[in-house]
Amino acid sequence: MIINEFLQDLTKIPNMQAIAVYGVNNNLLDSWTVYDSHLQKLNEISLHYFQIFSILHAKGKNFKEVLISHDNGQIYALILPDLLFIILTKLPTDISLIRLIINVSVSEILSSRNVQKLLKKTREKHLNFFDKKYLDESEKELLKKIGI
Amino acid sequence: MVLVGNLKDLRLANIIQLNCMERNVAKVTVTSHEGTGYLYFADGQIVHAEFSPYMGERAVYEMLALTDGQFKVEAGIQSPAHTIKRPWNSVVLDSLRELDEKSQQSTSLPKRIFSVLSAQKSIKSLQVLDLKGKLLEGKEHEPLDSGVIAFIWFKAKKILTYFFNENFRYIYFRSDDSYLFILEFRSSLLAIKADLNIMTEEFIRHVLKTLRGIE
Repeated sequence: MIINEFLQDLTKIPNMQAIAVYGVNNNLLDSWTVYDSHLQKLNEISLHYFQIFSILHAKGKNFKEVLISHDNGQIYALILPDLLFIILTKLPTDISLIRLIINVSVSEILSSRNVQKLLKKTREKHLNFFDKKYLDESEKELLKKIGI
Repeated sequence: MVLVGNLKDLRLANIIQLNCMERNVAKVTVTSHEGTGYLYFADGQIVHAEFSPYMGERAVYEMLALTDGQFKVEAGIQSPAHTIKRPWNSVVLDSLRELDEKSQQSTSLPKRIFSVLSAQKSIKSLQVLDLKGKLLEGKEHEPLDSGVIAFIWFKAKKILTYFFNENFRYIYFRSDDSYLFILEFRSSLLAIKADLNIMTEEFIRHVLKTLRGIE
């Protein structure tokens, strides 16, 4: 609903592979993918993104976007107070265009009644992204060193 | 007879020397955070060594590089194999020489990386760390806590390896006033804070080209 209504332009960008929108408790709100298998991957990695943004927030760093670049593409993520966008693209893709499309649509998305309903449900539950069940041994050790 | 201790108190080179000079038939087990290794002695020589995934002289070299860990010497245990043919003192001296050279190289490379990249106009601040997040050059919290950099790098590698089977190139964060890049170079992690007016892909290409020039 969110993508179809507000972010159609994203799906038309060349080399776009997948778009997923999550609420702050890692619940999938909407998605668009070229291949079904991409959605499964996005659902598996979204928690890792929440962990990354949470740790940056805990350290007082105001980073809202993260991009991981690999040999064949990019994974771009943008976080807002109530939403997380994760986008898979092949190379080359203009990230500034993706950023622009999302930023232009944000206020409309957040003021939409349907989205507000979805977000209200999301806010009722609070997830601890650093619960031990979400971390492997190396991550636990690294977090211990950071003091989290 | 069993003798136990810590490598901080008695260096492995000394343990080897002692067992060879005394012509002991013995097994030395070394347990460290990098794994467990075994050395076997007979007739005044090291006859066999294992330190996963290495065997023979390479295993001795890797074990001599350990600076911390527990050791246990057990007398009378025969070696299950004979993988080391050279005299013990040649094996140990060559390993120590190689480790010394490696140590000199590894301490100078981060310094050179820091010095060359810090001079770049578009770079606001820079840290050079080892892959475990230990700060080698730069300030502890600028641009980011070294532990946080290591955690994020680990996460990015995990995402790419587990879910996409892809090789890590770099990661960047964007705030309202800057980019923060994290990339790997040789055995170092680099955290680079750069102006917002850069073109990210061109910037990374330029940084990598500069780094290759340092080698």
